[in-house]
Amino acid sequence: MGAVMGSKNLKAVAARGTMDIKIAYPKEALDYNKRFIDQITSAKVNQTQGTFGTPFIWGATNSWGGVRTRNFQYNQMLYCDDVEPEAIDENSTQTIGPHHMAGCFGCQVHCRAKYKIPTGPYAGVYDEGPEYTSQGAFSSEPDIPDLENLLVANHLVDQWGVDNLEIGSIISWAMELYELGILTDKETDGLELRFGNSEALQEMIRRICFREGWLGNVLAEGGIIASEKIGKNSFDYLIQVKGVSNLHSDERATPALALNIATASRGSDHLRSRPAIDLYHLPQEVMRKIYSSPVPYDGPLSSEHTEYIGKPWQVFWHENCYMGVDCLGICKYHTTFLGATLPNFEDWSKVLYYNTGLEFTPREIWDIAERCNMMERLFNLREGLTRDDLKKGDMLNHRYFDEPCRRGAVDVVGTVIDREKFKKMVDEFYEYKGLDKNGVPKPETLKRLGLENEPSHLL
Amino acid sequence: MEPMGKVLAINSEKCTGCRLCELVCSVFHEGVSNASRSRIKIMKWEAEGLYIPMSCQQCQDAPCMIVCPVKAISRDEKLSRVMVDHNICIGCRSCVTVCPFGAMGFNVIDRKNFKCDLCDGDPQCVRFCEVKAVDYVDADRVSVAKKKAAAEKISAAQRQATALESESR
Repeated sequence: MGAVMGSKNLKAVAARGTMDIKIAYPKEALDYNKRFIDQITSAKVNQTQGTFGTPFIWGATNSWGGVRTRNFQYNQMLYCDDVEPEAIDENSTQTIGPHHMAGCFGCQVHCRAKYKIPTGPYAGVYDEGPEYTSQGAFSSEPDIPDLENLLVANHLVDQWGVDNLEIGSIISWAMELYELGILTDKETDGLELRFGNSEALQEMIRRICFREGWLGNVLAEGGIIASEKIGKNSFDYLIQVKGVSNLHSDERATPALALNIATASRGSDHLRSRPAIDLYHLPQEVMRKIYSSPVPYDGPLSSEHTEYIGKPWQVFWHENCYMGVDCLGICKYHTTFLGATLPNFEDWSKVLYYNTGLEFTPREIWDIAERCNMMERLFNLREGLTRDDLKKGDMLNHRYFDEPCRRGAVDVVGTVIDREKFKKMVDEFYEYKGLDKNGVPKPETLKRLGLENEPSHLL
Repeated sequence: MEPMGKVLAINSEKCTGCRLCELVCSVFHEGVSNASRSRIKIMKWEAEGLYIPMSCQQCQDAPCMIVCPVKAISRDEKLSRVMVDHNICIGCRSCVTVCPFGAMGFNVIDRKNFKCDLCDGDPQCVRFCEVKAVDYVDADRVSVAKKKAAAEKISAAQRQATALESESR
């Protein structure tokens, strides 16, 4: 679809609807929706998010060593006071006023900050964000501890309509290749593409968006194709899964999160199945309550985020949780993504009933989610997914297994993902999904999900 | 004359532009989710991040009431609101034209006007607005928050002046 729009020079389609959407039980829906919203907005995590936006997780994540820096060389950014959420907030407040948050349609979490660029050639320009992802893409990965650079780069990608995570990661990868001598001044047309160089970062964003110069044109193809054109061992340094760059969160100390990005069907996608609450060290009873509904689970669960035990079930549970809300049009910040007290399958069942009149049990919503995930699996298999393939499979870059974390908390320094334990996690995850050891659905799984005839050409 | 009751107090600086107020307004009044049938509307300048909620001001000398040729519009002093009697309304849209705030809507399906009725004393926009960009307060308290904010600025200026004075000594 994106390619079709691009070929027609079409950036977006805007529509304005004026027709009614009937609410099944208006009074009950208003009352239930109010309770549902209160449950969402009363969670501390969403109150914090509603004040700082997604950058609120930056400080904590960076301090224990969970932020990818200099592409993948470090797991913590140093001297980053200027890009801490408090600094961003202070600058936003000065330009916009005391209440400087924006909300998505109908949402009371209002997690998007508004800002005006305070200094430099873009001074006074308005934009929204920067999100946690921009902090990684334009601050930690290219190692540029400068607020103006963060706000300007965030503005450039917004204006040109490209993904902040992808472009920041690709440029930081190119920076590492340049410092290693795999890329030279010849390919960069004399641009000194070193870490810490904010002018180079912004110029490279422009070149990629307009496909300028040899490197701009090549990087615009995305990491995998670019690595084939750059050659040498450039691919070894590319931090991606299934062709999508990884979020700047460093998963080497968090096996559950590593399993999430490795197996996410859209490619490395932290929003597909990330059990982010794993970092909270929740009590066993709380975890048991969350993870044994709406389908029973009595297997092991561990409150320790560096553990491998029980994580495959958590990833499987979150995969269905997020697919459930994706089907319903509910944001992940309204789920157990970042807060243990947020609404769940039981609540969606009710909110769906009062608003639409449709009756779905929590278990039925789970089954639909599982079926959708399996459809994506079938799509990936058709496109050539094989389990350990570095370009299309459920596998992580070798650096996750071979390069220990160099910074951060004492229990983080020195950690890598254990190759054997990772393999076992994937095995267990496949079992929950009803896949064989190669990641292909068993016939009985497809039958159970009503997919035995779909897609017919695969079977 | 009865003392004035509660009024909608709008603080556009607080508005996050989410438009949930528009949805709950239409659900409450029409039983449907349809922002175009909401009594309250958020006017937006997306490229500047400006969101301004607009609704009926329940004017004392309401232009809609004055212009109505069939006297379908009247004031309900009990809830301090301006009400339309749709049994009398002829759908001429004079009130829509004359309202200085654009707060009188026109429903193209029923071919009658519609406006904020404060949900009979429990405004749903206020109930659902988490940041209270729309609030429902006693009429004599509307300006208090603004007074306080202005007073804070004056007091800060005074403190600065005192500091400068002591420095120059």
